[in-house]
Amino acid sequence: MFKKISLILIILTAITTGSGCWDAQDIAERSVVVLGAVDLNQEGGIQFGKPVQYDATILMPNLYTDTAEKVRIARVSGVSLSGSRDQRAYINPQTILTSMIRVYLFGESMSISGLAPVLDSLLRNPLLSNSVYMATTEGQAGDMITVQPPDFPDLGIYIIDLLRKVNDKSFFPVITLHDFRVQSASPGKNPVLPILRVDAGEVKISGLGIFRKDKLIDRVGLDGARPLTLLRGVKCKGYIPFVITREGEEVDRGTVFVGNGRKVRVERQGDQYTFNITITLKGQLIEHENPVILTRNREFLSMIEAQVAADIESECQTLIDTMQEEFKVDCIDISKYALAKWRSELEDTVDEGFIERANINVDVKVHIGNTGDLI
Amino acid sequence: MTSKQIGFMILGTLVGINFLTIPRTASEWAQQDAWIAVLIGALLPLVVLVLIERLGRQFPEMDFIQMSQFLFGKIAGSVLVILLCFHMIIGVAREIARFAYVESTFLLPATPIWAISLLILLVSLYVAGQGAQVVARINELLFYLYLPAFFLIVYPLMTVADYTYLLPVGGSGIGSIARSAFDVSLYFGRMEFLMVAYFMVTRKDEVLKAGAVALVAVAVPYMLFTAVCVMVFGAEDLQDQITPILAMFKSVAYPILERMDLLFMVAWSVAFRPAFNLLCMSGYSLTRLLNLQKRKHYLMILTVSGTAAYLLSSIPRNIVDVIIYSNWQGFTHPIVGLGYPLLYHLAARIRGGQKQNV
Repeated sequence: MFKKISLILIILTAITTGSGCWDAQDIAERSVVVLGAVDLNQEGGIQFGKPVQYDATILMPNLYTDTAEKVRIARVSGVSLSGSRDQRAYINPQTILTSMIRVYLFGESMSISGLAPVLDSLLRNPLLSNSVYMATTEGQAGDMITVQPPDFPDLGIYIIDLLRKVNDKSFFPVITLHDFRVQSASPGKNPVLPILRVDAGEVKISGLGIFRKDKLIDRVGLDGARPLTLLRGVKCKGYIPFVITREGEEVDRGTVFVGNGRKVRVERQGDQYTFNITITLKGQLIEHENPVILTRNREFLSMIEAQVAADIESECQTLIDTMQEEFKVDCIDISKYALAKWRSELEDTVDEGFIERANINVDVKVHIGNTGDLI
Repeated sequence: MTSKQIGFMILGTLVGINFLTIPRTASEWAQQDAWIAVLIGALLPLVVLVLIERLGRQFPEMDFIQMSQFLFGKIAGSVLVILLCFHMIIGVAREIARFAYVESTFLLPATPIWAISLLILLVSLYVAGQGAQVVARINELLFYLYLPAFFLIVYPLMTVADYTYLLPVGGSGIGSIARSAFDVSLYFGRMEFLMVAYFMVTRKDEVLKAGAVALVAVAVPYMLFTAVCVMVFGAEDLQDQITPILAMFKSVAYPILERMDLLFMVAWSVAFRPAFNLLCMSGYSLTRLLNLQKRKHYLMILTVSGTAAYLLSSIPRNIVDVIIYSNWQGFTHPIVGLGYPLLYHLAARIRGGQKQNV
């Protein structure tokens, strides 16, 4: 009898406590947020006797069908990022569901001042996935959120898809909160972030931001993003156009669609480190204007491969020179190979002057396996 | 119980909430060699297993209480039994507290800690109240239920892991690896429960083999998960995280299911096996020590032990206290785990010598 009573009590307690009596909330009382933006506050102000530091803007799809607006945009300011949520209580009748956020945007001034303080808020939240996408914006990120794409349900879904799928169509990295956190915290590593801007009423990717740990220090445009991504070894697939000229005359023009790989070998002679980066591009020829039949002129395909290789090598070498002379941070993620061999010696110094002094050689190998329906 | 069941009990006792936190501890000093520290740390429970098994062989017809009283006399023997039971009850409290805080962090942030702890305690009491054989069977069942979860590391390994974080192998130095191995060995504590459980096994000659297999089954996943966590985060970044395993699942969006960390935590919510295993062993020991009837008094003893564990688990005020107290309490495991069998061996030797002299 005692056992039966005990069992009943245990089951009742389990049902009462384990079903989340305290934690249960009606889904109808939640606001689903897919996109968040963080900026440094420009207007100033005081809250609770302390200076306001951050603006946090969120975009919430409007789940009510009988309202005119498809989305709700809410901006609040706060002494700290999480502290700004206090202000939401006065403007948002529902509770924010942070676990649904899929992308975070950071304004330009915020990125320059450093993202580490706000990253703590994001990383400390157990409900927020570390696989959220990250990007920085030209200007204030909160202003970008007001743009409404005409052919997408809302800007949040547009940006999520834009960032998520870009590496399947171009040599451009996808960066998540986890990537940024690990790369900004680990010795020898520095993250990059996509840069978004508004152009003619549309949000577009305009380049890559170069970070020294958590601070934005420079940027490259879309032309520079390709060699940077290839040198970083981020696996992508993309289109590479080529133009072949011989003795000043254009012989062919076309495009290959390839995927990339990277191998890095590092050697050392005393304090001089030499990195040999081999980039491999494998894929198919998807267009070329010269009507030559490739089986009748077997060297032509090799010429195309050689041209693409030469172009990419040249781009990469230019970027490496810029990295060593201007950026002065390892934005191509190669120091880790030196750390893998000489970690105890380099750990404390790899972030100061190491990449500037290294010799970095690039070799590009292109292999075109298919030529589509035509030969 | 059978030797196979004792193997599952060993596995269940060693793998609790520790599983989620071990990569942080292992990488604190050993850095990229954290996985080596885990393997070395796993030697401690093996030594404890061998010591207890060798001890038990000398007294095949006795149980732990009888052996204690035989070797040390009624009073001293009883004191040793009570001390071990108290040590196990503290272990239960530690497990309850840690589980409650992790549950609160990831799944039930608004639910009071006392409610979560109460739920864990009541379930543990119910399971332990069914007896050692049922407890062993539940350990076996949970092992098979959790087995697929270990394949979850494949996705982070394929997508975000960087093998260079593990290199150079051995580069952190023997001293650092040894220090981390010592810290990890505290995670492999609680083998001392075998001082009681060994004597419940019918085929005692198979205990060593079953125990060794169980230890391998614990050490290998611990090592693999530690290695993958280091590859995903790097040793420096691991130090910030309370539960690196969950953080690893949180760092990638799994196909279809996306948030594997929350699903894993829901499944892991019943993994407080150490709590009911240790509760069962301490309850049994106290019942036997007090010469009470198992049918009538075992549950009552369990309730008292469980209540004591619950009250002890309420002492930490926050998760920082839980981690600090946990670390302190961890030091008692090698002391008891090695100290008890060694002391009993010594006593057995002295007793054997005295008998010969007579």
